[in-house]
Amino acid sequence: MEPLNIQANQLILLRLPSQNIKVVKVEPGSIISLGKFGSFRADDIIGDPFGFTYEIDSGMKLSLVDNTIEFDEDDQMGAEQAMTGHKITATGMQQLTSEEIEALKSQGVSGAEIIAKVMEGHAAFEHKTEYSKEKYLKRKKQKFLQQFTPYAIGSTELIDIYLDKDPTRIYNLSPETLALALNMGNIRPGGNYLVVDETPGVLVAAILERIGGEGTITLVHENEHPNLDCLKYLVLSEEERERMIKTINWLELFHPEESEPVRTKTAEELEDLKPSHRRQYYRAKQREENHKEILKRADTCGFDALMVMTLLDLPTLIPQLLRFVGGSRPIVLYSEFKEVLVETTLALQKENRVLAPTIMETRVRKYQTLPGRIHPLMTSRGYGGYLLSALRVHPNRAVNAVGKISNRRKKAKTTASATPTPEPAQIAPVDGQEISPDTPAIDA
Amino acid sequence: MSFVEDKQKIEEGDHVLAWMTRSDVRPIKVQSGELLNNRYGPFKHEDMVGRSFGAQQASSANQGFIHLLSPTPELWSLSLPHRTQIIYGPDASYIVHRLKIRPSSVVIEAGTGSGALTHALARTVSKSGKIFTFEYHESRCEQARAEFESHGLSEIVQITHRNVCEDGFAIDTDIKASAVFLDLPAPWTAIPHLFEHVDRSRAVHICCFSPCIEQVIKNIYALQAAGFQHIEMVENQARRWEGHQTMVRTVEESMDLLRDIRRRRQDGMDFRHGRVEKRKLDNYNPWGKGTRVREGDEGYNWRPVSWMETDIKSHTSYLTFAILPPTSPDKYK
Ligand SMILES: C[S@@+](CC[C@H](N)C(=O)[O-])C[C@H]1O[C@@H](n2cnc3c(N)ncnc32)[C@H](O)[C@@H]1O
Repeated sequence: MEPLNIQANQLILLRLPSQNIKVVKVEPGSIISLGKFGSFRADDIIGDPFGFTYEIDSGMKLSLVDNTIEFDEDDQMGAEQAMTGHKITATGMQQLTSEEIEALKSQGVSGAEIIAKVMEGHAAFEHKTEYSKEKYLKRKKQKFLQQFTPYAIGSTELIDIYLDKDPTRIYNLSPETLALALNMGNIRPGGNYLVVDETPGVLVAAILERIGGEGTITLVHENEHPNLDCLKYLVLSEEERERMIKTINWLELFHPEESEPVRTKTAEELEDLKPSHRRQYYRAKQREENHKEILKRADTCGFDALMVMTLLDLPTLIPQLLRFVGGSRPIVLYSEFKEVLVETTLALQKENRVLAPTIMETRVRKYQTLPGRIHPLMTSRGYGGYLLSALRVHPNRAVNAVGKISNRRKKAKTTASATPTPEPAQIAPVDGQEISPDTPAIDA
Repeated sequence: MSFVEDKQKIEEGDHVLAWMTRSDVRPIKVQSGELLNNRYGPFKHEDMVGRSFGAQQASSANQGFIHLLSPTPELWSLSLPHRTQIIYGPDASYIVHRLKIRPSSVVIEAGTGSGALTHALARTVSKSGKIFTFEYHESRCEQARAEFESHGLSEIVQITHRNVCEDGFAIDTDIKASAVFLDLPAPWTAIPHLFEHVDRSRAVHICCFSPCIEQVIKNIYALQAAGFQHIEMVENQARRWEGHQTMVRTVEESMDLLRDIRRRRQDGMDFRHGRVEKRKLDNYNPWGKGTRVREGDEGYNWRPVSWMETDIKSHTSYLTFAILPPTSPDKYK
């Protein structure tokens, strides 16, 4: 899905030294302007592999940067002051290219010696009062460096784009939380996933990335049509999109009987239709077919994971979706607010159809890594959201009674001295809940 | 083999993870005639055959139950026999994400350790991809190899017994990795060996996983010196909570309790002075004192709360990420 080389007319993300990002379309023949960071010709980068950082020289000429150096966060010393008395000659630290390493090897230099050489490079660099050097480089970078790094747009970049534009559209989702959701959901090629994604499709895009062309996403949507705005950033053919993404709205999912069946047209009727109407007809038929399949899966094996990112009320929604999820398959719910997930957990604990619902948070803290001044960044984004992850299980009537007995016995023993509460004579299923009607009879 | 595909029903020879609690998950390979024993007594393997994954099973002695789960890398990391420190969910997922690992990616990993991360990597690269993993501790290497084989992962994972810091990554196959993960004591000594084994036609992503800041410094120098760019070091903080309920006790109820005590004392005095007959007053007990109240019991008010796990992993390691750009095309030379 993500091409390795920059393609003509592809939408790509440019990262600039100022930490700014910019989405551009690489239109052949066009000039791409980065404002104060200069302009360059699109043709010059078309065909190049992703992974280079370019410098814009005079006359829009591009050269490759062989060393990217990070910012210094706390600038209290001031670049000018730090620079006094130091002549800076090199633009980057000494490095060994793979060719040079090869050459050393062929001269019979051992691995250990090569490493020593590499580290020597750094020592020499450090000698040149690295502090002032870095200050100088930073200043140079901010003021004069006209650099950019192109990236193919995938889920990582989509998050950055929305965090930059309007974080509320992705409910302040952080990359690390999305990453954890994908792993907890056991997303992999060949899986069939039930997905609720009320962002412009960031979760869908991330799942697409992990199924690699094999498997399906069944997207349940709120409005009549799904919002998959962000798929426009991806290199995804119409065919792939239709094959992998099936859509259904809440009404169609929960009340299929309320949908009017598409009347089958005869060959002659089809002949008479305008091509656009014919296409519409086939589309409607296909949609109907997809819906049948979705509902059939729900009644047979269930989906391989339930992945949810929506503002709909989770404590009331999720119990209704459990019947669509296969046995031992993950349920992963995102919310910006831990409170919502706590209430959802309580609603799920009343059921015996989920195992070990757990709320998780993951927060990545970035560090400044300039030599001699390593410390966590002074400020970072506070949000990032929370996940509730659990597994769908099949309760077993007989077993639940057993679990209850042993539980009671144990408790009765440990609390023997306390005032006893009368035990109900009859053993009810866990928490007084009925075994859900959708549970396959296999284990009863 | 359920490590590589989604299965519905348990069959003879399948891997099943038997869940009692989060801290007691046992990996088993279903073989009729075998028993799983835990504090609830024995569970017969043959009783598992034909059930669906996710089913609850009672012990033969009806003492308790387990859940029969289909293996995932996350569950495996809770149940695997530890030979080393392992990488858990939050770090593992971030590593996969940042290294841009996808189906069909080729990844170099050293050392294999207990193979926890290897399982997560293998799930994502899937059958179309490949993990080349290296471990210099012989018995660990053999144990990991046996596990990969038993889990049906040998097609995806190739393990080599090797000290990569001294002897590099060269094997029979020509490795062209797009991602590299180093979790060993001195990643900086392994970095210079990587060049010939990564795909130089594209950007290569690396992550060095080191617990100490001194190691991080050396990693950064080695990465810079070797031409890696966009070096970024991060730390991941993960936390877990369970949902619970706590009883709502209002000050009004508290005052009513005090009034109740007063009322009783007065009644006792009245009785002693012969002003009233001996009688039993109703007990005002809004919070169920002296009785066994279970969380969520009816007749009380409850508020949802979250309980944080008691032992949090406050530091796993520092993760240093970097990108090796492709070899420069001629036009830039
Ligand atoms: C902390 S463990 C890795 C744990 C692994 N990431 C996991 O999740 O299970 C580090 C492993 O690296 C191995 N190791 C250390 N130095 C090595 C070297 N030079 N070459 C290969 N393996 C090495 C150790 O034997 C150890 O098993």
